[in-house]
Amino acid sequence: MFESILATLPMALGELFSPICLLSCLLGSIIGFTVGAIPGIGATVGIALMIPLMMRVNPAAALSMFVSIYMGGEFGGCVSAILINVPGTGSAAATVMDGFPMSKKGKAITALSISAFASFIGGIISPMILILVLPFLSRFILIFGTPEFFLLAIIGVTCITAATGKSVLKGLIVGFFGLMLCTVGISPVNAQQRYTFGSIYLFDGFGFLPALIGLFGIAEMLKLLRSQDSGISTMQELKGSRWEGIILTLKGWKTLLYSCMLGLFIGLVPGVGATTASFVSWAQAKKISKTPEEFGKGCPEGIIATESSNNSVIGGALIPTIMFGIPGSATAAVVLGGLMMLGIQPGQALFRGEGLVTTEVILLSLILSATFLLFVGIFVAPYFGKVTLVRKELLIPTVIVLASLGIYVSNNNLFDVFLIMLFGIIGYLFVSADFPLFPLVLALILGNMIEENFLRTMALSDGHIFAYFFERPACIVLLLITALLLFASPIRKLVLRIRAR
Amino acid sequence: MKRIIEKFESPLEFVCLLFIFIVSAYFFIVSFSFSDGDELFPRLTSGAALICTVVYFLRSLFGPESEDGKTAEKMEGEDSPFNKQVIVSAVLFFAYFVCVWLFGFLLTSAVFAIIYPLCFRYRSTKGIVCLFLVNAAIVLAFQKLMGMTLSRGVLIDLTRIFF
Repeated sequence: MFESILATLPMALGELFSPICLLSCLLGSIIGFTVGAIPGIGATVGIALMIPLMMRVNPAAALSMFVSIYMGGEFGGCVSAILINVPGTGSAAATVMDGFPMSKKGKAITALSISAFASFIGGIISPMILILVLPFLSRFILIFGTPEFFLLAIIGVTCITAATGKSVLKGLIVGFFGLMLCTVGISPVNAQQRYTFGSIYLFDGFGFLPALIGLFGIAEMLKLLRSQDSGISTMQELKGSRWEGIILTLKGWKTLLYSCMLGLFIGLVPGVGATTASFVSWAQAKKISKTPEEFGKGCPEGIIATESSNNSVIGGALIPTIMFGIPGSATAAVVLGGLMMLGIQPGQALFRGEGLVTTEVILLSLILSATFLLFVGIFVAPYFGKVTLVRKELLIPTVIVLASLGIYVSNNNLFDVFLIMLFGIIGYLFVSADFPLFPLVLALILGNMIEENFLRTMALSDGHIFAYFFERPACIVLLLITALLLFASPIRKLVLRIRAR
Repeated sequence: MKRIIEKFESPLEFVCLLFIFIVSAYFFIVSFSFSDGDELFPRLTSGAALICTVVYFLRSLFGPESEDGKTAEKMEGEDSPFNKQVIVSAVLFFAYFVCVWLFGFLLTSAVFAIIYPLCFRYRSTKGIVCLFLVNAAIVLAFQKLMGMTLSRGVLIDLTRIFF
């Protein structure tokens, strides 16, 4: 069973240790760390901005870059959380609870070392486990054919809708809206123009890259402006010991391993992501700790739990992404966009032959990036505090220029620059009105794939699509899961209301 | 009208729903003009978006108030999504796009780097000069180091004058 892995692993290692991949991994880790450390930016924006630039390089190098930014972003978030009490990313919000109090006690360097070491362990454990289970995953994925992939994509949008938004209906509205926007352009069946208004710019449709950069890049910048925080904050003095941090992390090995496993499993659930993992791990660590009263007052175990889990989430979140095209988090959705821009389709192809090498490169890049980040975290992060204080008046124009240049060079088309601005404004309005963006982005990424699988399933079933679904056991299970995801929350509310009466 | 809008979580929610409703209705109606096979997916997705939007409208208008009781009135205390900074930025972003079309990336990006912070009363000369140099360097790096062809504008081609 492990023969295919053993045969492809040396090839993946060869790819990964090529100079271009190593450089991409190192650069990606640093970029991710930087964007993660600056509050309000994060890995999602970082990857979205890098996709157009990486389209001309070797795919393995581009993938290394994307996943390294992801890893770096999750880790970078803790720097501002520990030093200035402002989480750089959502997942680092849980790190603030113990990281900043520890920093205030004069142990900022110790806290950063704990965070770096715990992130390193979390970052290497989950890809290692996933490499070991790859043979099982490659057998499992063979069950899925065209109709199953169509249903899986629907589940993806539904599941994320159910998991991310306050209102399932709102998520469904934007999800269907996204799928609808994907139909703009030349149709896949008769090459007919659909909703193009005769404009040559719309023949290829909107394209998910401008949408991705607009919704995550531009909209995030506008969101940053809405916050009243000027970006100026006070930084704690850099005191403490690096070794003390590492020793404290090793002493908390039980919390470390438990949180890693928790993060991995939470990552596997689409739409849940690192923020939930961090808070759940923190709460669980407090429950199993001998000194729960210390939590929230600068307890090392609190930092270990949050940082190890939010980094082990990454491996978990990438697995449904590459297996079924269902991303485990918003950042994984952007990675999926990057994969598709490189011409790599998620699914069975990524679990055999050359595709398996690609999957292994992704997982090995995570391990390499985590190793780079260990050194960055221990030796560089303490001096990185000032970067987290960068003013938004300076940050925003640079992001706008980078986003515009990136999208322009990807297609040599100024219309795409207009589109990122348009999607940015729409994204900002949607977020402000409490509409989740994640289903919209996912629908835009998966839309064309869903339509193709839908049409193929229609052809296979001779028009009787539901009868065809019920002939296939995997489809029945997937239909049940979709129904459960959609109706579980309303039914629960109804039952509670009846009970209350 | 005001009474209807008050039934929603915020006026912006009502506007977004109305926008989605109008776009979906347009997509749905136009889908009937497509040939066999091409119409199915657009009709299904726009129809589904339309149904969900109508259900949401009906639920907001006639259903019980949401659990947190967040009505438009209660939202008044919260910060508005349309503060001055957001509006100025959105205008500047679109102005940036128009200027890129007219003057190309190099000139526009460098000038944008000066104008944007000034619009927000950022007065540090050092910071603005740094930003100007960084943005100009980014454009030149794309053009000269990475060898990418950038838009040089329909009016002034600055790169031909200086480089």
